[in-house]
Amino acid sequence: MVMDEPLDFEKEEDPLLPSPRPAKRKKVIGLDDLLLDYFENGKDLRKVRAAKSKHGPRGGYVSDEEDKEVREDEICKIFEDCEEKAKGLDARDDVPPWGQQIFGCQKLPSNLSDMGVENCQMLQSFCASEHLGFDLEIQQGEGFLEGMLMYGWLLKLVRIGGSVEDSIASWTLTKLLYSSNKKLQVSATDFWDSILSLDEDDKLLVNLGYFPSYSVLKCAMLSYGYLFETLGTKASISESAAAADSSDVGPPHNIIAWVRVVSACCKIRKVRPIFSASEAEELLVIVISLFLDRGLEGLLVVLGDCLNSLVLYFNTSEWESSCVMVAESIAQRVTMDLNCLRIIDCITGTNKRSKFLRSQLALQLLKINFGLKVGNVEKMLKLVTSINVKEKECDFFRLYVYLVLMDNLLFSSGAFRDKTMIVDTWRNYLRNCSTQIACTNWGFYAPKVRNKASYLLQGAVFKKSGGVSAR
Amino acid sequence: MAASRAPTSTAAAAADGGIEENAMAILDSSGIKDSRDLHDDRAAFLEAVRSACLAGDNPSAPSWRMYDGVFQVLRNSSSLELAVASFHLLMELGKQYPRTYLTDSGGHQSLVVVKESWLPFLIGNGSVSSEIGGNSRSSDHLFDPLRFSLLIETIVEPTNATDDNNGIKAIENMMLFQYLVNTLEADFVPRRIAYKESLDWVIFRESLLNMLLGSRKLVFKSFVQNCIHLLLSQYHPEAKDAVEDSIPFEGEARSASDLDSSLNYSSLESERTLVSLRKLFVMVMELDLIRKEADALGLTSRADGFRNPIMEVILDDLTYNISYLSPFLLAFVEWKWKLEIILQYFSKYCGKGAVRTRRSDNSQQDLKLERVLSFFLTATSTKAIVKKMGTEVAQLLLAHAYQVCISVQGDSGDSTTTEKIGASLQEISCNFISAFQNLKKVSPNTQISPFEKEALFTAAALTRKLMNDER
Repeated sequence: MVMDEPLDFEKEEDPLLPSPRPAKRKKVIGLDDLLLDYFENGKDLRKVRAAKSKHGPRGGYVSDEEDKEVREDEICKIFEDCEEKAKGLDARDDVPPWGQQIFGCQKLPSNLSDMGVENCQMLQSFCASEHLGFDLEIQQGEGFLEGMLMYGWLLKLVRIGGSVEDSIASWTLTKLLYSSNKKLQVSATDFWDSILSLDEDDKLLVNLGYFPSYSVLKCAMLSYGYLFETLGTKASISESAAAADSSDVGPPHNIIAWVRVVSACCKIRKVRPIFSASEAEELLVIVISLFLDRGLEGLLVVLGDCLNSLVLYFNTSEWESSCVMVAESIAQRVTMDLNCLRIIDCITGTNKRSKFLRSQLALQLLKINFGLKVGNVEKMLKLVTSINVKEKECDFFRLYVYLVLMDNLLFSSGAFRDKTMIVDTWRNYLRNCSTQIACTNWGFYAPKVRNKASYLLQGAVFKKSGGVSAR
Repeated sequence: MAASRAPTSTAAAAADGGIEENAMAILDSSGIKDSRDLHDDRAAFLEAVRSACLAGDNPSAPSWRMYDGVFQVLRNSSSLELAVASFHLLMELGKQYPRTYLTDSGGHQSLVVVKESWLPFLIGNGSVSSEIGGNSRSSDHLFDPLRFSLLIETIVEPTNATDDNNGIKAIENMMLFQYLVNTLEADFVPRRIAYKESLDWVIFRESLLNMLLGSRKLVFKSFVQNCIHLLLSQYHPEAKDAVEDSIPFEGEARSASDLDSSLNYSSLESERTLVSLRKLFVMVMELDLIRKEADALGLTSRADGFRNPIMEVILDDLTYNISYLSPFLLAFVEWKWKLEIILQYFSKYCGKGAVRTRRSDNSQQDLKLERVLSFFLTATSTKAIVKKMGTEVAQLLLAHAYQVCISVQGDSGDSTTTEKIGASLQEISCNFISAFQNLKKVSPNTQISPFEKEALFTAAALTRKLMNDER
């Protein structure tokens, strides 16, 4: 087809604008709530929503007053319609959105207040010798240093001086990990990010005797309430559960600083490997599991950077075995629902290692799911493709998860691309899924499976032909 | 397999069209949908674009519609998850497929601009959109200069942020701004390199930044003032503390997950927005400098229009609102330009001649920091200056200027700034301390702020260290 031609699609209305609600629907989530709300506040919810998403001077889709009554009738009709249908539908129709509880109760360590940093040489030697004629209030000790850190003086002194006293280094790290003062956290992170850097000759910018260590970072995670063991055994939290016991559960406030300092530690690998391979594996598992916390979904970029730094931290010889360890460990913790798909999505696959991790994770998830001892791809493929979509009992949600995982397993890393048998079996099955699920089947995830299958099928075609012809 | 070995170009083109169709089909909202489905579809669309353009085996550049689709997901994001994912994707696409880049042709760099590729901006009589294949693409969601300045206004004065959706809207706006500045920067940086070789003003006349700011639709002065307000919000003592206190650390009720995470997250996002804002300021300052050069060489014409240099607008604003001075200097850490602002501020009060015409260039550049400090060497001359500008302002400016000096020290290679300082760090440090001592003599009752105390401490510590090194 010609690329420049206007495509049919463009002439249609913008797919991203909320489309008018269809008059008839078979599956509605929480519509009765919506209606209740509607009656209670007498507000037109759609109108409110339209007003909110409107931006700038654009007019857009404003609902008119006269529309209101028509819509009211419409909604009533839908409501009745739904009530009827709802009885017939399975309770599992509501697939919970992704989100797992990653953090439990937070417990701050007790010995933070008295670090003795006021006895550091920098302050002591100054007090002894200087008579400038000003009262600099150095005797405040820690308070004075906090100011020095926050406004960047400390970093500059250290850079010019060329070294960091141990007491100051560990004090700034503690501030980074535990201070509840946001500005202090950020400056401490900048401080560490900056001193954990290499110059052009691959030398550390300043002399450091004290480095962050795995145990310090792990301790911090523990005090944030990170659930090391129980992760995954708990059911995914639904929103109501999250609201119910929210008092001391939830994302810790120093988590951004923690993630950034882990990334910073990876930068100086060449000069000083701060983590051993097994420690880096543990950290990678932690960082990946953070993707599942609903409270951290805004940190996608920061977490993604950290994930990448950690993935690249391993030696080439270590990587494959470490990757398998990490994938296994994650697969044991994460549930086989939208959570595992979320993780697969978050490992972006923009480099070779990340692609490998993605396919390994898919492999391990399927392996555990099918109770296999070894990750035998042919066997998994057989198990997945034996699911008959025409059967009434077919669990379409589960199938949906399998489709995504299987596709990642096969095509993420390219290991199976040349195995014609496997690829052909897979494509045939996708074709079945996309054609044999009736269009009228609006039940549990069936349309999603159909759409996904046809999308993946197209992808599989391109991957095959494109992969051979272009490279 | 051999049969599929088609000529690469046609295969790739077909694949592109197919991938585009396949990806865009996901967004097609015809059929029965509820909001959850819409959300899932958009997430799936983002993932499809990512795998086709970034993570696939043969990643290809996104088509205009795919790019635009991602941008619209960001602009109409109904959830934080989608907002972050689309933002992340846009940034990565920008990095991977730059619109403006340099090629090495025969030993010198030449600039390439892919005019037909998608842009979030709509600049110059809609000519940009009509260039693309001659068909009318809907572009009323893109940013023209007016909408760009409105975006800043909404960020500065967010509407009532009490309910959930508005919280996301605020974050969405901040991310939009970051993305737009990022786009401007990606266009600006290669041009700057190309300009260094050719000194051809046309390179910058056609830069996105110049066209955007040159538009009559954007009132430059109020735009800059809005930006300053935004920059100050970070360091406005009362406002800032109130915000910090309002972040619940423990025990406060948290409701829906999105709101919850945006609380944790919006501070990070506003921090990044400020980074972008400073980037924008620096770019405009550089543009102004280049424009001045071009003016001097007679390369500009009347068609270029006239816009006040940003430095003048900033200085006017800071002189008029003295209380802005301290927070502005704290927030604006780009030291090269910070020194420039400080020196120009001083030159208003202690330059050689009082009368200066607007466009005379040499007089302002003459003033060096070393010379400024020399005004404070004796109590009498100090008194003369303090009479004009006030002790507090003088102390503030000196302390910030000193911070610039020690920042430059760590960073070799910026000769213009070193030149503007005009003396060694040791001399500057000594003179800085004695300037403060003289200021104290002249007005003994003036308070010294913590920032200035830290500056004095640093200066004293460095003087001692540098003297020890000499021995």
